Amino acid sequence: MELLPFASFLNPDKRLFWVYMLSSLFIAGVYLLLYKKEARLNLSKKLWLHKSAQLDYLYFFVNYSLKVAIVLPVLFGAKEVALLTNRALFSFFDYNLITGVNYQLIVLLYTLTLFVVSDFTRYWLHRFLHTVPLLWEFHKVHHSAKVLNPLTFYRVHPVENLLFGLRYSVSIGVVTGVFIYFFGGAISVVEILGASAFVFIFSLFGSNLRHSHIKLVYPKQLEKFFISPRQHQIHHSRSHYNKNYGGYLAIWDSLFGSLCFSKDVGKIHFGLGEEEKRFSSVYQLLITPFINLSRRFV
Amino acid sequence: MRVVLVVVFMVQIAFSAEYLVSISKNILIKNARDASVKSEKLVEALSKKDLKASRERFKESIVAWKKVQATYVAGDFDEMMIDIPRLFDIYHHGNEDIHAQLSRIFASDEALEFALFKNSHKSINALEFTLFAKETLTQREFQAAKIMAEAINTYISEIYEFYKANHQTFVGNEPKANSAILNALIDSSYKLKEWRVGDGGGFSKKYRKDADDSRNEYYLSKLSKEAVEAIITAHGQLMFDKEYQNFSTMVIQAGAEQELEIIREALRRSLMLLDLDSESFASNRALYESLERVHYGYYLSLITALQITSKIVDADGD
Ligand SMILES: [Zn+2]
Ligand SMILES: [Zn+2]
Repeated sequence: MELLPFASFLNPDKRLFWVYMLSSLFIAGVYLLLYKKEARLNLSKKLWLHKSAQLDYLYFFVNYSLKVAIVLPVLFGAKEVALLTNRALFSFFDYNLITGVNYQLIVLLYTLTLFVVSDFTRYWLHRFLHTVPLLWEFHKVHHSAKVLNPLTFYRVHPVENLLFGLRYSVSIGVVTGVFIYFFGGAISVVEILGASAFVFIFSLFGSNLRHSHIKLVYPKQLEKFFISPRQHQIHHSRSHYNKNYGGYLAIWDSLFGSLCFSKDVGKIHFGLGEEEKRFSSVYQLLITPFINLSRRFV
Repeated sequence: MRVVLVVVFMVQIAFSAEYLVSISKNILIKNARDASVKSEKLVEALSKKDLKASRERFKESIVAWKKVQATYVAGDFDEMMIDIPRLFDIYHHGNEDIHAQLSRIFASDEALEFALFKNSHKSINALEFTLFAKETLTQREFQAAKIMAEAINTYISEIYEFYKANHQTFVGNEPKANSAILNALIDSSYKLKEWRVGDGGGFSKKYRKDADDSRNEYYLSKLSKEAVEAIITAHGQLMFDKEYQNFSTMVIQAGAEQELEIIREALRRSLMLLDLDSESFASNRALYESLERVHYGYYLSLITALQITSKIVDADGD
């Protein structure tokens, strides 16, 4: 992780990587050409200079520094988790290195497993963030955004960053530990410009539009498998918090009964309603969850 | 975009890492050539029916062969090569009692070319039995030993030819070559500690507290220690600081220098512990543990080199 927030634009592991931004911009452009009526709102000062948006821009920098200080140390745990998993498998099942396997197949399998497992744990953590009262207080920070823009993705409380970091370390650590146990060195991730191929493809197809007012929908059949930008926007709707927890894949929402299709929802309102007011400065974004908790539990 | 990607891949393909060229030339090809030459000399000694010289040549052959076996990567580049080592080295693989079978064959008068029809009958282990089970050899046993040595020489030469012919393929595919080398080391270090030292010494999972020297590889020829030493030496060829570039070059580049030091230290210690001991491993638990550390070190360096933590893709919220 780079120390400067600007490095996000140059790092293919980040959603703000310039290639992803450019592709999102391209998709948005085509969308607005097709739906000219929506151009006015999407290009308006009212949207981009909205108080909530301004707070996103400012908070992006603050959150970045906090993340480097708090989350980075946790991420080093992935290595230990991988080693622990590997050792555990050894003590239970002794030695089972599979040699002479098709190298490309293993690499593909590892990349795919990593992607699916990571998406699965992301789904559940996100769901818990809504359903566990204590966690919801922190996740409110993200949902307090009144308007959406790509930087809203980073409007996340450091505690939530920490949880997502932990989740990631455990996911990647366990998967890597298992793969190393069976396939040894035959696992280096298939990469395109340094990012995992799957993430690269998904990010290219407009991840950045998830937090925007471009109502990009997928056909219903596709929305059963992949979360469309509109489906995530629906998740930000006050009346649909309990729908579409998914990251890239919609299959978890399908499986666990929280899927909502774009065409089933009409007009939506973002934000927290009345409570928004208590999330209107950087200081408040950081401190309100704790104040709420102390009221709630003390 | 596509142009950039194509260029990136082209550069990757055209690029052959210097350390891989060095490993291929200084270790893989060189060790295989050495083993091929030594096994040929063994055939010559057997042709002269000189038992003392043959036993000496046998020792040189197995020391050379163990190095090739410890770093065997041909199977990763050609499926046809996967089983070659097992065809003439059946240690821990052959469940059948070849000693009894060979004794029967030597006592009969069936033509040897037909009698020794199984691969295991012509293996290194069969040859060891033939050369070391008794003080003297009959004409028929000499003749059989020569047939075995020729078969062994054929296989080892095939490996040597394979490495020579596939040098470019090996050096031109860095991820695959790295994976093959690392897996060879992981596999070899496991079998070294668990089978070659642990089973006979009574430390392995299978034979805990049940030592029996006769389980050692090359128990009859009393070359168990030499075999273990050869294997550790081969690991050292790849991992120690040598005058040529080797696998440690890559491990350092990948940022696992500390882990490399753990492996080196364990390899050095294993060599040291080996010198102190007799042919029996039963009283040498420290050696078993040191080799276990080598095995563990390879996983440790792999996990570090993967740098999985840097692959944080949107670890953030949603
Ligand atoms: Zn949410
Ligand atoms: Zn969101």
